Amino acid sequence: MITNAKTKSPVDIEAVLQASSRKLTPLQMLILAVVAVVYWSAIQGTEISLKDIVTGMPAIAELVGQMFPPDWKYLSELGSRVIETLQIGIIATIIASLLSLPLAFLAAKNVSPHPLVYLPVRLFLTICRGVSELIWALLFVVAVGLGPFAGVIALIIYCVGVIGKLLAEAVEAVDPGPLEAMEAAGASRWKVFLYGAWPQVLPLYFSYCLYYWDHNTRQAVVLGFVGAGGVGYALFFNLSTYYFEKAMMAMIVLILMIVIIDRFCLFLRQRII
Amino acid sequence: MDGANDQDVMVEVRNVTKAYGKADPAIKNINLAFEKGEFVVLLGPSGVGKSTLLRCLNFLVQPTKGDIVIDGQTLGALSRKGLLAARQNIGMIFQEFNLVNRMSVLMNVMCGRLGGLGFWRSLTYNFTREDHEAAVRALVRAGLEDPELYLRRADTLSGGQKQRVAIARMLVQEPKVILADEPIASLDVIMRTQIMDLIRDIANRDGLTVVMSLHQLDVARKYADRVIALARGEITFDGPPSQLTDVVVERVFMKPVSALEQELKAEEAKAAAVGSAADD
Amino acid sequence: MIEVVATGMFDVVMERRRVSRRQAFIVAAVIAALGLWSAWGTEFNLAKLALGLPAFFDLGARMMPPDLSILKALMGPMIETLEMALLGTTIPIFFALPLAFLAAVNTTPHPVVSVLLRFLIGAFRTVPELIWAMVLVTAVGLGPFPGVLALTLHSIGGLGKFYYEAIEATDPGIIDAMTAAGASRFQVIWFGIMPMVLPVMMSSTLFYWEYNNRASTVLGLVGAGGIGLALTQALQDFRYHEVITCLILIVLILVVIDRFSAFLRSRII
Repeated sequence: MITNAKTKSPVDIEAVLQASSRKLTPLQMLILAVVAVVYWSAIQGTEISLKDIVTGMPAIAELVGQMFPPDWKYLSELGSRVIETLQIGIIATIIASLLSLPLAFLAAKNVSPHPLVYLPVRLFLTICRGVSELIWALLFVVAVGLGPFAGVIALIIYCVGVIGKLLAEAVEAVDPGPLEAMEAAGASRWKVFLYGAWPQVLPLYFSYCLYYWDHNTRQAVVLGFVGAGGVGYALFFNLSTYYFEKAMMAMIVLILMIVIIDRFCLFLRQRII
Repeated sequence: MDGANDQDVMVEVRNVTKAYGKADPAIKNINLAFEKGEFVVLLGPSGVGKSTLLRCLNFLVQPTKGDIVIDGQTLGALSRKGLLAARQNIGMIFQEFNLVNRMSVLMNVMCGRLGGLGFWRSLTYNFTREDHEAAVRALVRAGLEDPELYLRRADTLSGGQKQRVAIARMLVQEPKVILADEPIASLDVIMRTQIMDLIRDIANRDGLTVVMSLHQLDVARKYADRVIALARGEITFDGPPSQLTDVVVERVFMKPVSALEQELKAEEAKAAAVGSAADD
Repeated sequence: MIEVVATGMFDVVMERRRVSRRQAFIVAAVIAALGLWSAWGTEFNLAKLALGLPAFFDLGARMMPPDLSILKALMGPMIETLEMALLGTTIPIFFALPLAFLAAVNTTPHPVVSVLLRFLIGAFRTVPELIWAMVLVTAVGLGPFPGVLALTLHSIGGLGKFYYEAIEATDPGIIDAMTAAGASRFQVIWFGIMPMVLPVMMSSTLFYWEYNNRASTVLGLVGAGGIGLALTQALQDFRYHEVITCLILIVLILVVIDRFSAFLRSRII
């Protein structure tokens, strides 16, 4: 018999065991059942089948086989495309990071001049990031025609939505003391933001900008699919016209580019923060 | 109200009531007048509306009813711009110092002059040479004479040094009134005396009106010209510290004097422990 | 006294200020130069903006009012999109988890394995899901299935990285203590590390679920099913009133999912 050291009374082991072994409440069981049904219907709905993978394997293998060896001569043509992709990423990130500053100021509850300003700006940011940049690009391609311009605009819109929101949340989380002190000293709202909140969120802002530069470059590749230029366009074009060796070459260049940018961002982030 | 000549009245509180939402008002129908050069302490335990009253004085908290007159200006009648200009005449210091941690000491001090800084200069963090000079003078006056400190980040300073920086920030405003919200509550005992002496010296020399909220009875007795106590949003005592008898104190703090003293002693011991730990 | 300190100090202060402002200026100039170069390369300029934005708003105007009669027909593709995202987030967990334990430096059986698997995880992550989808559509045909596979492949990389970073951030003391008590490697992982990393893993999985929902709305562009397909077809056929209906539906669903995911995450932590 096990007894409690202090009270010397016997410990009810059964009770302890029962408490530690999990019993599902009816609500939990219901949730589990719902989740199971959702998954089951999802598997039905998406027509997943192991058989298709197995039967698809030869096709995949053939496709991959056709991709080798990569067409090394194509490399020289890809140079300008890579630069274009890089340029799309850079200009979109710079403009988006600049635009998101005033928007974040207007969208942060604690420094925003007025609730009537705060709410519409929040809504605007939500719409900007509501659909992915690819859909924005699709719409802009329809509106202004093919080319990198549509891609840049699409990236800017989405990125403003995301950085603006993240930054506004960061501003809302800053230590309110300095803001109060500056307001008490007669500084207007935007000065309070610039001097009280901004220095506090600056490291976060830099890290968001770097992260979204990386992200934008990746997305710039994908935007090529809808005609927004860059390496993505080369890849898309070659895949859809069955030049698989060239496509493979584009893929290799693309992966290298993304890896290098990833490393570079990591390096910059460590330097800054 | 002895109806002294209006020239000497610096701060006037007229029928001020502040209610947050539907709750009972934090302060109710307060009427006060502070003279030029007067050292006023708002005494009492936390949660009696001291802080609200103090923040009403520069409209950081907008009164629900009533108005404030500072140096002849009625704050409630001012435009937004006029209010910001009026605030430049009212310096404020805080319990938690409220410095921007990631900015240099000098920048923090110069923020006291933001109100008068032009648009482009503000946008590019480009304070004038005069602002720099004023900041250095204010820092020296606030007792930070080691130039090595000026370019350090504010969060590398000790608590006492931080409050001195905050006082310097207030000084560059060249204020006529000083509002102080529990300025010594986060400091150890030695620092408390130093900071209180500093505030008193500055006020005496420049003839400034000081309105300070405190909960330390002994400090209030030592420095105040006039003590005002609040309870449940209303004034329960208003007079010189000499009239603060034990009976009054018990009424203000709603507990016996002995218990109160013990409490303050314990708090001091805690502050001293924190202070010495910070020094290590 | 004041004046002495002030004048002696002053030049130092002003000099430091000059230096730091010059540094800031150089950084700004470099960024501006990069920006100008990129603007020139992508033909991004005010003239184009002045032409482009009115064209975009014109397109927006032509979309109004939304054609709500197709909402019923859109439900099928919308549900398909959500299903792709759900499975595309769930299936990779089973691959990412073992890979992460093999790749994390503190649980890997051998450093070489760690390096190789990290490279593999990185490769999965690097290739955007849309490219995976394109390749897979070529291989297994049109429909939601290649979409699920594409999301799965990309998420194996994304989740794998999140997972092994979480594992590496755990307190090494517990592993030592359990190893000292004679626990096997599996026992250490299951009873020592899993309880610690589970909240982080669940949170990053939810993050990826949000991400995949957004991604699966566009997989239709390359023929991988879902609402993206309906959107692209409507756009190609100039049925703009239907396009705007799709867009509104997508935004609404994504906002709801973000909220739901945020709610779940707040329950975890």
